[in-house]
Amino acid sequence: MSPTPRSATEAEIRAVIDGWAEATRNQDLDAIMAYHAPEVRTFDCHSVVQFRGAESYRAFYAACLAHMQGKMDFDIGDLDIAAGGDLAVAHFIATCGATGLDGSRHESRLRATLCLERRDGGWRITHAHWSAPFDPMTGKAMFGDDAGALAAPDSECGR
Amino acid sequence: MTGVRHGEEARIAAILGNRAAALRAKDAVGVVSHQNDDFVLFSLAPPPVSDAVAFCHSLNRRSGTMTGGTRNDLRFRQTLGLRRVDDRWTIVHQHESVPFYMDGSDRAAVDRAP
Repeated sequence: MSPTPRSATEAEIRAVIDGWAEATRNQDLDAIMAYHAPEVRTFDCHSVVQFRGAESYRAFYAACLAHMQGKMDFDIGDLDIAAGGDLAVAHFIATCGATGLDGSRHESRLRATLCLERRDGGWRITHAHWSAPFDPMTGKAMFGDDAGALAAPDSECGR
Repeated sequence: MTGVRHGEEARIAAILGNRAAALRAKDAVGVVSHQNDDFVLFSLAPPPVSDAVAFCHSLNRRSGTMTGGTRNDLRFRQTLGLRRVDDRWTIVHQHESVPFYMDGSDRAAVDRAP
């Protein structure tokens, strides 16, 4: 991340995202969930359309972490923040890497949007949206560099 | 959309309503008219700093017939980030997606009704 905040609020959001990203690398579920509001609505990338509330999302997250071992790689790129007053929207590309229980390596590049609200002097994530684009020709999600192919202006819109 | 909306929230709801109507009418200019220039272009100047930011999240359905005759029907998640610039709300970020199945197939879950 290149810390060039345009405002004090944006600097606060960058600090929150740094802390949350570190908790994610450490796979520290308590620390990760501490960044979320109790009523957080999450559109995650796996299988389920949405989670309403931190409790159901935590259960899902715990099930995912149970399939991994050790720390995970988690890098944030192309971070952009719109912050004003008590609301902020951050969007970025996350590069994730994890090791499965069988030792296999899994890597993916995901699009992420976090919406945060100021609560009691701190910031909490009230909405999160994670996804991988999908290729309409194959119906499959794209996790790597091939995801850039559809970003070309002349790409066919299949949706 | 549900709930009583006042002030800025009502203005944003109206923008989204107009945008949906433009999409139904296949009015591309109308669809992008609410988007900030930074949304569609790599701007040379930094975007204006504003005190006003908003976001919306929703479960949407978009259907239509392709030129080849194929019927397309997609339910998807959408998150919009908006900024108020010069007293006008514009969309500065849009995230649309469907989840994918974790069964090893990596299939996009386009058949999941919200």
